[in-house]
Amino acid sequence: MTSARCFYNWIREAGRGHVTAFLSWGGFFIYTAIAFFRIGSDSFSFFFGIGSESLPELCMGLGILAGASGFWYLLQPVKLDFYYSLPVKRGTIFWSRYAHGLVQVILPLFISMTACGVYECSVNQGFVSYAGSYVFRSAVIFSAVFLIFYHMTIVSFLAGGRIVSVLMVLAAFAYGGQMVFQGIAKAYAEYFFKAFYRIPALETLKEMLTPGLLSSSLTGAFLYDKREVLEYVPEKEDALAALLWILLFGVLLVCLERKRKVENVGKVFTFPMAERVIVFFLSVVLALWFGNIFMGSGIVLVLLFHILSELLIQRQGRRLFRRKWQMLLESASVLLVTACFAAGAEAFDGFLPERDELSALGICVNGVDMSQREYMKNSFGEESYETDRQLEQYTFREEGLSEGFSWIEGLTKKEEAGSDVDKENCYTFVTVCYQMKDGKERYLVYPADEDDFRAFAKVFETREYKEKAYPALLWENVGDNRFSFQDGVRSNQVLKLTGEEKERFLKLYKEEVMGFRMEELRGTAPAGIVEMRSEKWGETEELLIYPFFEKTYAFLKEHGEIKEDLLDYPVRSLKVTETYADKKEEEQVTDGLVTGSMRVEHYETKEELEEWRGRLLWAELDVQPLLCPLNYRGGIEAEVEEPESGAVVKVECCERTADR
Amino acid sequence: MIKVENVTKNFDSICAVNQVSLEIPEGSMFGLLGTNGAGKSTLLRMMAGVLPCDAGEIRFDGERIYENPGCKASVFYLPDVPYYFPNANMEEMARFYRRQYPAMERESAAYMAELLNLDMTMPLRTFSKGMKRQAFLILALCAGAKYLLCDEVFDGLDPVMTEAVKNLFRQEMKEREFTVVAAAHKLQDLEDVCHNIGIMHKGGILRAGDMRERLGNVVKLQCVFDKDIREGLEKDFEILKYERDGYFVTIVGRGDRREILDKIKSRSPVFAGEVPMSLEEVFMAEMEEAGYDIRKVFL
Repeated sequence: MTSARCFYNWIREAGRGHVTAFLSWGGFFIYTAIAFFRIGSDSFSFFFGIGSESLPELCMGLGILAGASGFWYLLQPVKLDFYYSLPVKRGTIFWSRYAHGLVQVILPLFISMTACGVYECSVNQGFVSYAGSYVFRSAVIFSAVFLIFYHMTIVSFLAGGRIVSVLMVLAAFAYGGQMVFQGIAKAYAEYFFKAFYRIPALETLKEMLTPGLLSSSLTGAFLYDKREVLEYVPEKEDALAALLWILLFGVLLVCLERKRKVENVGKVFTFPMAERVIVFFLSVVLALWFGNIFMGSGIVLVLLFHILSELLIQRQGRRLFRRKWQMLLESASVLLVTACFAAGAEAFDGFLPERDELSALGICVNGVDMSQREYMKNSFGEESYETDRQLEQYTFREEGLSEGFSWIEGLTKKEEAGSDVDKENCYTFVTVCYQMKDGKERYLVYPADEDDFRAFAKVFETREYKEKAYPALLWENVGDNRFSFQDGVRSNQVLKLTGEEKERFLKLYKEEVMGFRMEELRGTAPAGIVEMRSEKWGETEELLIYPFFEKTYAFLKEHGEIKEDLLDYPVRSLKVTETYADKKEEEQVTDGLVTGSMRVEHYETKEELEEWRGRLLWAELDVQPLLCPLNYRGGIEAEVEEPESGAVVKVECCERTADR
Repeated sequence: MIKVENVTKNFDSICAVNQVSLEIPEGSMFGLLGTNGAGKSTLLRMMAGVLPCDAGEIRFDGERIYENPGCKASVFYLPDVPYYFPNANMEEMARFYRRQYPAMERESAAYMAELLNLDMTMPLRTFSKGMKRQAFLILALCAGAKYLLCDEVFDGLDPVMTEAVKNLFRQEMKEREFTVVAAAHKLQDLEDVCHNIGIMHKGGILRAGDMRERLGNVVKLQCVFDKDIREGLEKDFEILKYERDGYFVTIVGRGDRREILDKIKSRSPVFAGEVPMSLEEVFMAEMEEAGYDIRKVFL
């Protein structure tokens, strides 16, 4: 029999039981059916290939299942004896099974992508020009995702001698990167580095070394815009990482397949080296991981985990200390990692680049240009969506960069001088992203006291800052735009302005925005929002209108019905909810509806409502919690009659407080 | 011819097969005898090319077996617990083996199965242990392989079936050049069918060869003496075994039969007569002579 024919026969033999075929063809059939339905109902927000959220999971799952069903025989001594006694090279059996799994998944994947592509072309004409490229890119990228998990699973089956150890190895491959870079490196950085906010290199490494995250990034699962999805090409780093995973595990497959000894099946690991590596990895990683919780106990933990691993492998307690050198190495590794973080703390916290080294500077002052809720939610050094959004929005390259850098220099000098401002009791904190000219990014967070915050006015009052905080400054030719006023009750009061008036209004607004000082915001909340909508481009911009914008405010009063207080509207009732953390306080409350630690008060009479005059504010106008702190209590809700329609509108409110 | 040269196999710190050397001529049946854990199965797995040798080599007709499909095509390995595909029946297994052993005769397998009352269409999982053994022996005999390696070949077979299978082996060896290596832990299973037998103990071969040849110059005598005569006899011929129970003496000796009888008779026994020896007794005598406590090996 020729080797090609023999190989083909063994590929057919690998299909015995049809498990892989059933899972793969069945899985893709169901996926295609659902995709057809989704494309038919909403082809703009559903992506059958790149951008899909479920297809990466299907490909990852099939990679593991195809690997497991094809190579389960590696754990079956009787079956191995049977196969290996036949007149065929064991490599032929192995690689024919590999090829079978590959074909059984890649083929239906390509067919499914093509079928979905053809169907979407018939539904969405706009897709036609992208169809070929999108289908091909999707098929290739998802094949890569499948291959990563397929190779990973087969390597696990080669290295493990029992299913438990196979699962352990697979879990180490799948989550090892995340554990190392998120559970350990990030946690240690947070513990040792006072100024830690984020280390981008750790994030990148975590993504590259965690196959699930890499797959998600590779397949654009985070995308939601159709055009972006259709034109998406993975980042070079992601593509390279995927290729490395596939190749590295491919090389491992070849080496392990050749060296795997059949007599080692039934042991925990089929390679003594795999056993050492896994014990080392588990002991060190778990010791560092738990060491993060019980800081300083790393050495004890590493020995404990080493002994536990040995106990699990040997299932007897006689030779637990057989690898003394390895134990020593593990302890040294734990010590070294901890020592490196401790030693690097000063360099990390004291990092301040030269002004010339910076290409841009992102600044987020907690409590500036954000809602009270966001402000309260943010905590020192902890990543948050709002902080990231602000760091992106407030990235300065010109005068904002110079002023911002000077201001931050002041903060760091103060810290060097031994200021007692600490992160728990600081007035606020500042998160900074230094964008270096070499493309690197360094994130640090600094505490700031009230004086530091006042000094921030220099940055705040730069043109660059104002342009980022009030983007309407960059708008021009707004004569055709639609202007409407919002104050919580009337959500869309269109201002009837001529083109000239609109231009004049924006000019006035720009002048006053550029002219106001940060201190003017202290204790002053906006009176409303003007929404400016470009009919041509569909873009909108919200213009915050402060009472001290005298000219703008007067203009608005002249051209629209502007209420100065919410109670100027016919308010039907006001529902105020109070929450009490302290039981004693709750017991003192005698009137109103009391439930648990919550009390709800209703104000309905004219006299009761008048008590709230000047105190109520639409919650959307809560934008400066540091300068203008507001009180939400447990929730304040006003029922207001909309004057034009007579409809009752529920307005979520907050309460003005005295300036801090 | 199968040539096993200084083959050693270690499983971690355990030496399963230690410096074993054998030569098994073509057309013969070789029995591997030994207790559990003696290394029989490991040696067979190495001979089948399942396990590599740590040292030494195994050759079939001059070719190494390990990872050599050409050589393996002439060898059929039947393990202690044969593997069959889930829900497979004899027909399906025969079809599978035909793809591996082109000389496989499915018609012969069907004929033999009918003779032994085995239903080729019934799933093998529904067969009893003995039936499975019969089924795989049929498949092994019909595979057309020149060499058959069987582990615990008669295990699970009733005496009638054991005899039937032995006849099948004899028939096959008569009809074509067919060599069988069979491992067992009971000598009775092998003594009437094997030409050569090797005894394995603790990974090594204690004795190997044609035991009937050795039987040729071994004599077993039962005598009655009124006194102990051992001391004098040891000078006259080689005593392999001497047992005295009162006046009754059993002697196993090596040498010329006539000469031994004359020497005994010269000592004026009350009674002296020769009794036939079984192969097992030859083994025991051989082993004890070699200094092994045979009860530890077999009992």
